[in-house]
Order: sequence, then structure tokens, then C-alpha cells
Amino acid sequence: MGLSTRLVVGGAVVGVALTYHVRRRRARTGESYLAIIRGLPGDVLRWTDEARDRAALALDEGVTAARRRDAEFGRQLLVAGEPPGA
Amino acid sequence: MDFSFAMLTASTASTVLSYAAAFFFVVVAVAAAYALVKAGKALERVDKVLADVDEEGVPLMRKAGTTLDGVNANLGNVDQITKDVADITDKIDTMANAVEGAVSTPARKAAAFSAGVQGAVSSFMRRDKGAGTTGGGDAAASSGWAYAPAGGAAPEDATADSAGVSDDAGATKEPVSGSGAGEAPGTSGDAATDGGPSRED
Repeated sequence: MGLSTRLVVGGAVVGVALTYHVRRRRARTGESYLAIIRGLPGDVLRWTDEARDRAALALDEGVTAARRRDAEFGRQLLVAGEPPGA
Repeated sequence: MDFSFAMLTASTASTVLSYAAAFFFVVVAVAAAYALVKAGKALERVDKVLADVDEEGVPLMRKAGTTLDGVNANLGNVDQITKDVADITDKIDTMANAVEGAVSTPARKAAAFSAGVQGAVSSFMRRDKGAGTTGGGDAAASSGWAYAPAGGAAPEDATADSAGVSDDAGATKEPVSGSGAGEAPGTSGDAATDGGPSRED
């Protein structure tokens, strides 16, 4: 796949995604197409910040959940290894 | 007369005693003979029993010895079987410990990793988080990962006003942002392109 093909395919994908976003946004909020397109850079920056914050929070919660599950699994193994009546 | 009577009486008593003693000895002799006969019969039977035992006991003891030898051999086999079973049990125990050590640790790590991924994904995709971080809004209420127009409504409203389509934007814009944008329509285009007001959130 050549560079031009990649550019064309990428542009088509981006265009479809942009069209879908604009139409959906307009259907939801009633804004004009021009307003939506002009607000896209700000939207992208906002999405980036939001994703970064949420990713950090999700990472912390994931690590906490993994440690909690690991401790629970260890406890279950310890209980399963004990002889009956112990 | 008296003397003769006394002599007769004495001789009679002596005679009676003699007869009594003789009778007693005869009775004793008969009893002893009977006892000896019985003892002889008993000794004869004992001799016969001993002869039978001597005749049949030796082969019986030989058979018992042979049987004991077989039992001892079988007991040796049972002992060997018990040792083999104990060895197999030890090997199974070792193998079970090895399998447990080889399986439990990766399973534990995999379970922890999957739980961590699940927690992270659920936290990342949680809808109410998006509303809290982006300041809320119509879109944030509908979808947490979707765009929240509260902060970015000002430039959009401004552009809407400048483009002359304020009727469409007025349906959803907020009063504060809408009023601010309406006051300075000339600067709203720059604000919309660089995304300044939205970054302040």
C-alpha cells in the first residue's frame, strides 16, 4: 500500500468519522455545522485532557483492584491448602 | 463266773475287732485294686493318644511350617506393595506440589491482571466520571466519554451568532456563555479556534 493510498484511506476514515461526529452533534445539540467544525480543536484538546486524567485515575484504580484480587486469591489458596477442621 | 464272763467278753471284743480289721483291709484291697485297674486303663489310653499324636502331629507340624513359610512370603510381598504405594504417594504429593506451584502463581497473576484491567476499563468508561471532569452539560449527561459542550459553548455560540444561525444554537447554549459570546462576536472566532475557554476547565 503506497503512501497516496494510505493518505486517501486515512482521509476517508477521518472524513467519515468527522461527518458522523458532526451530524450526531448537530442532532443532539442543534448547533450549526460551522460552529461544530470550528470548535473541533478545542474539543480535541478537551478530550485529550479528559482522557489523560481519566487514564491516570483508571490506572490507579486498576492497580488497586489487581492488588486486592491478588490478596484475595492468596487468601483463598491459603484456606484451600489447610487441612479440614483446621 | 465273773472272771469267765470277763474273759469271754474280752475275747469276743478282740475277735470282733479282728474281723472288722480284716473286713476293712479286704475293702481297702478291693478299692485299691479297682483304682489301679482304672489307672491302668487311663494310662493305656494316654499311651494310645500319645502314639496317635506322635504319629499324626509331625506331619501336621510340617504342614503348619509350610503354611507359615507361605504366609511369610505373602507378608513380604504385602510389605513390598506397601512400600511401593508409599513411594507412589510421595511422588504424587511431590507432583501435586509442583503442579500447584506451577499453576497457582500464573493463575494468581492472571487473575490479578484481569481484575486490574477490568477495574481500569470500568473506571475509564464510567459515565459519571466524564460529567465530573468536564464540568457537565447536555452531552456529558448523555455520554461520559462524549464531548461536554459546557466549556466550549462560548466560542460555538459566538460562531453561531456570527454566522447568523443563532436560532439553532440558542436551543442548547447556556446563558453565561451565550451572553459572553454575544457581547464580543468579533473575538469569538479566535477563541473557538484555539480552544482557550475550553482549556480553562
